[in-house]
Amino acid sequence: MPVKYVLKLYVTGATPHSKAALINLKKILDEDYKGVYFLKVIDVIKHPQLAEDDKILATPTLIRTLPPPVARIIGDLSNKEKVLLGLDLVAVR
Amino acid sequence: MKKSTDEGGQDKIDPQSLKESEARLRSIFFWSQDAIIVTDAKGKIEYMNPAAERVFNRKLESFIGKDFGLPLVDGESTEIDIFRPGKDLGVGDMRVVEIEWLNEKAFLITIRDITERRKAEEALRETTEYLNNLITYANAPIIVWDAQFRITQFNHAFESLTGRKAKDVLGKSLDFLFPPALVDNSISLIRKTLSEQRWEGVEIDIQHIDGSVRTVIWNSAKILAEDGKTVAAIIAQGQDITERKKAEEELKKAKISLDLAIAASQIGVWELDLIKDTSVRNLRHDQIFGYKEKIAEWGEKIFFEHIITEDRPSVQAAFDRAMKTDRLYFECRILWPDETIHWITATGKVVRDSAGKPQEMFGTVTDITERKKAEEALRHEKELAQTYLDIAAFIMLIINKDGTVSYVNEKGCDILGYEKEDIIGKNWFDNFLPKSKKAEVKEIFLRLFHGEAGLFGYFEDMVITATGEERLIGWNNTMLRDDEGRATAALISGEDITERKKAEELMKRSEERFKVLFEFAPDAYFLTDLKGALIDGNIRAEALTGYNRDEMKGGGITL
Repeated sequence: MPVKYVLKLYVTGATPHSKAALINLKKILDEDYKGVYFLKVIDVIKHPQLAEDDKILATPTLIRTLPPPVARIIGDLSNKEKVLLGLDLVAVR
Repeated sequence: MKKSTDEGGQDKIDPQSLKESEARLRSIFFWSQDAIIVTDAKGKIEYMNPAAERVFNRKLESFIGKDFGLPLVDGESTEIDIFRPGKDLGVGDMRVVEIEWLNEKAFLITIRDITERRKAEEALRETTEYLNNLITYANAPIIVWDAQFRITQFNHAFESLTGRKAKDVLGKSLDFLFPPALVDNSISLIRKTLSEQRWEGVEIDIQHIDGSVRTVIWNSAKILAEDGKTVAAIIAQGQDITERKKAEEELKKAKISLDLAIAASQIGVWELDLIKDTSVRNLRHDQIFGYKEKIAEWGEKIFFEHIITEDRPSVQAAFDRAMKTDRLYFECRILWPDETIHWITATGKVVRDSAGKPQEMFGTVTDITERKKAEEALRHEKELAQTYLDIAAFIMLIINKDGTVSYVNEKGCDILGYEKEDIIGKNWFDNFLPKSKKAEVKEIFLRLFHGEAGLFGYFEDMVITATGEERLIGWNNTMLRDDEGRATAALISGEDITERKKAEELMKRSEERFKVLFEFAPDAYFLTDLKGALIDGNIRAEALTGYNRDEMKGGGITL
């Protein structure tokens, strides 16, 4: 049983960036990691404390929490390669 | 960076130059207005400039060593939302470049705070949307075209005006809007706007897709480009005055007809400004007052000077009444410059302002001198007739349809033995005829009234005087008629023939007596004419001569 990846995506309300980030991310993950990831989406407006705790500076910020190593990427999530690389995930062929 | 070469030919980085170049970079970063963050290859923050502290609203110390995150930028830059507790949400433009920092791979991240810019853009977008809505839904037709005369905006009202849809006309040239014959004119008129800032109130006809033409008044303005000089577009707003124009045309025609009518009718027309006491009048008006041409000034005061003194009070009263009832009407005499007197009649209407104060009067004036003269002549004749009736030697009575006496002359009063007041208004048949004759005479009268003219032109009947005496009167009657020929009253003239009748009676009786004496006398009596020829004879004469009556009467016999 492949281990489940736990990811946290921080977004700011429903700005165009936030929506785009979510759509992009889902596309990437569903392509290769369908059913294997667990994505939590946190709105910094609604949960500023969580954002503070995680020391979020800007959104969209995507954090891979499990399994280690912890990785964090910030910015444009449209490029699949860069995203997976940043998360230390390998693109499954 | 200074490099020194060792014996192996390997480039060795001089730690001193490293430090120097880092210091240089730091000082450049320090002064930059954009936020600069340097992270290691994994995204851990190694350096943050003062601008970053401002942009993120945090202190540098709290972030050194913490994770920023691996900066991902696709293309040149990417937009990120800046999370900064204690301040509003920001928007940043993030650029990333790989550098060497302390001999390690690092990321140099530049973030420009574009929060304000985004807000301005949003405000502009909202305003633009608002303005576009204003234009789209405005009541008046509005059109915008660019410097090449191609339509860039076309609102709903314009769609109604032309019967065309915006989507079909955008990008097209203006030509189709105008009636074919007027295209060149209209376009050149519009080109003029490029030389002036704006025009107002220019009439340009617009053609509907169904061929009908609307008359529209246009206001336009230039929309300048950012350089403040070149014309980016022209915006024009129209007002459809087709109906108004039609009404104006109708009004013009009506006015011409009215002017002709007034000129033909010889009516004087006047308009009086009650506050300034000035007026507007037609030529006929002044002619009615005896002037050949229009005189320079005229008002209420001058008008009154033309009225003859006697009539001024009644005209003044008419003016006072007009101030209350808004209607003026009077007749009066005026004095012409040539000192002749004329009659006029005037009508007028008062116009008040919004506060109810009388502002002007307008009306007509007509010369009625001829009519007045005719009325006067008629009145005079009536008076004369009345006098004649009054002094006539016959009884004169006018009896109404209902039988009451409306006129009796002096002679009538004399014969009947009453005063005028005791006769006029009383019923003729009930009061002045013998009871036995009442019904009969009444019937005759009724028949006369109902048009049996010519019947009983003359008849003799009794009246009862005040003293109860019966007198015989010989009556002649005439019916008085109205304009439609209906009998309104009977005019009867009567002659008291009581004495004459008595005399006639006596005469008859004495004649008869003479006849008897003549006939039955023992002597023969002959009647001859002046020449001696026989006319008549009595019984004895017949016997004597042997001629009978008829032969004697026949003539030709001489004694």
